[in-house]
Amino acid sequence: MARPGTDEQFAALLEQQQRALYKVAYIYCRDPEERRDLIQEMAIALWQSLAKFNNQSSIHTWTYRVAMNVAISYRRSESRRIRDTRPLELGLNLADANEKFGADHHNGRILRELIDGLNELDRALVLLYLEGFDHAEIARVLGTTDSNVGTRLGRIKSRLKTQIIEDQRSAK
Amino acid sequence: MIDLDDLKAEWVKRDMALAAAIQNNGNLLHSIQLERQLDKFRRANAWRNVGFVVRITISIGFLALFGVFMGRNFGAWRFFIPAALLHLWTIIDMVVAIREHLALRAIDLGGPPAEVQKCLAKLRLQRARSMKWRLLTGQILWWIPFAIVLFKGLLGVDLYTASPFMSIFMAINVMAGLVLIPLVLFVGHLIGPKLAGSSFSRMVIDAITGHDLAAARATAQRIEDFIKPVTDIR
Repeated sequence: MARPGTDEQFAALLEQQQRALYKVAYIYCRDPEERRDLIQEMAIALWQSLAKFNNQSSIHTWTYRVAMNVAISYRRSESRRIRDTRPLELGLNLADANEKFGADHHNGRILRELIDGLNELDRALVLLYLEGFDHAEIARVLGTTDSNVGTRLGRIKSRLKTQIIEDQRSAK
Repeated sequence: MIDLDDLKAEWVKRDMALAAAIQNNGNLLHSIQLERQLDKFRRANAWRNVGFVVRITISIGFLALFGVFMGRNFGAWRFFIPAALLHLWTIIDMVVAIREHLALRAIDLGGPPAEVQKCLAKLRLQRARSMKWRLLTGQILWWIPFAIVLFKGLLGVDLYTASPFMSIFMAINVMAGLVLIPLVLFVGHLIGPKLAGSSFSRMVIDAITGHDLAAARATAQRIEDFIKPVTDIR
């Protein structure tokens, strides 16, 4: 995609990346209402940051970075809340999306529990892993080393194992 | 036993369902009024700068007023010195606010999260430090010294001689303000975490007692750990 500069190009970018925005919001917000606010903040940040996009990374990677940075700051309440709280219509039916990603399924619940126990950067790491990025790509997107990614993913996997064992114990 | 790869497979399945749902809904983005949405963005963007612009405008206003007052009272040191202290405090406050604002604007959110968050954590540390000292020094300067300048400048009243007890009252208040600094720091460390209250009072207490600072340090450390080579991770 060419550097998006016009309103139409921004609209195309949002349309193309709305799933990515939703998934980042899902990883960082448990509450669907908060998720809506966060997606709105992400969209505004994308619009504000467009001028700084320099084609050094793909538009997809850039979108993930912006969205994750906004989400991390949002969780720390560093980003100012939007005064105009009317929901933004991105073309993504959030109720529909929440249903598709809901934690009603057993694995969904396990994933939610795992995510909730992670710090903000580890959440980003898990998201990119789930999205199919390899270690080198994750390292490049997040700004760390391949070996760090491998070690942290190993720890997260162990954590998941422990969590499942504990779940099984408490179920008995 | 379920592992991360099973969750990944589940995630892919859900993502495909989401993609299908979006496709079924049609080309929704073009059906909405794009211009209206962008207007919302522009409004939200403008709002983000309003607080900063208002703050700088107020500071410039105070600087001008203190400047005029100092000019008129040059030589009358008991009026000049409080105004000069307030003038200096306002200049420092304004410079800090501008630096923070520019530093925040310079951050490119499209950068790697570890690096961006490191910059933000550094800014947060600086902000927590400056907020703490703004509150501690402001509570002295914006009480008695400001009252002296205000009464003299606005009403022509000399607070030092307004009543026989006024000088004593003012001296006690200034001393109390000075004593309050170490006292608040000490008591805050002891009971700060146990204090409840509104988010505003919580924010003020956290800023004064340094809990904001501690939280900012902890965040900065977590980010450092994330970036450090594996062998250095504790």
